[in-house]
Amino acid sequence: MSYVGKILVVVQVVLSLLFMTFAGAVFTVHQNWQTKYKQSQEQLKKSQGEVTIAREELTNARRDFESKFAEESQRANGLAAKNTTLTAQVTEMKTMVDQLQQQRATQTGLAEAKATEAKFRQEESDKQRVENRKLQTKLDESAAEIRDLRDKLFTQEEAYRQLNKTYENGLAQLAFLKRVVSNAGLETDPEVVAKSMAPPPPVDGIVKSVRKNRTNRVQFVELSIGSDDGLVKGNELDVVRITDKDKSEWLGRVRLVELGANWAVGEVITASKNGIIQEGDNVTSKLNL
Amino acid sequence: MSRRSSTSEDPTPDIYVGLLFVAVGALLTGCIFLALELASYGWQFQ
Repeated sequence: MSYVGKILVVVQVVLSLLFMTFAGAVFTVHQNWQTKYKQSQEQLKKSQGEVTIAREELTNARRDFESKFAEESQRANGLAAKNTTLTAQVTEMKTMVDQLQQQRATQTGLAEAKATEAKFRQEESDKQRVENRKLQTKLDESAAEIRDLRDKLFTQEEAYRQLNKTYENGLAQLAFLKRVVSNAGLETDPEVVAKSMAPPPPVDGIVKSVRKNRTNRVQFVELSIGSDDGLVKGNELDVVRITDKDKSEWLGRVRLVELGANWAVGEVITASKNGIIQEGDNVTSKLNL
Repeated sequence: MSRRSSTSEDPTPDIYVGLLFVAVGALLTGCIFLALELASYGWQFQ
């Protein structure tokens, strides 16, 4: 074999190896563009279907949105009207809240005042309880005293009954004795008796008239003085006649048996032998002094 | 080249013959790779 043939053999071998290498590399690292194309077509169809569905959904959603928007617009209008009403109500409620707050403040003040008053009353009630305890103790003591006093009262009532019975017996006896004294013609009034026993007051009077008995002696005389001058029945007066400026004549002594405000009738108990009592004679009690 | 008898004049295969066999194997392998590549497209050329 010639030298050129040898070179060509070597070149042929090298190029064959390069061909095999490139062919293997192409087979190993190649991409199947047909498969890729089919996959892309399928994916495109799928995406187009999804886009169609999405558009339909978008259309439906837009339609629903428009209908909902219309409903919501109406609802919003209604809510706006309601909001206006509620705003007015809120204003009224704020006014009421202010009034209620004022009332609450007033009520709070009243409550505080009441609380203070209640505290004061509580303290007062505590004091009253202490006082009540003291009073209860005193009441118990008083009840005991009342029991003792009732016992004493019962005893005293018994004694009173006995004394009353004695008193009634005494009254009966007194009445009986008064009847006896009256039947005897004596005065039973203690004041009259005391005054009759007392000396007459110093008075002067005049004999207004005289009455004589069957023996032509003066028995009764009417005087110009009476009870207004302090005289009482039983008083004894002297009858005198003033004959001169310095001389007088004693005519007798009379005892008052009847009496008026400014008159009296006296019975002559002692008569003078030297003179007879006549109208105009003086009567006096000063001689008894 | 002169014609020689096959028994006496056949040259002894040398390294270059081996190289030619290697080249044939490499060409067959490359063709197989290309056939497989074309088979992956379904033997379609468009």
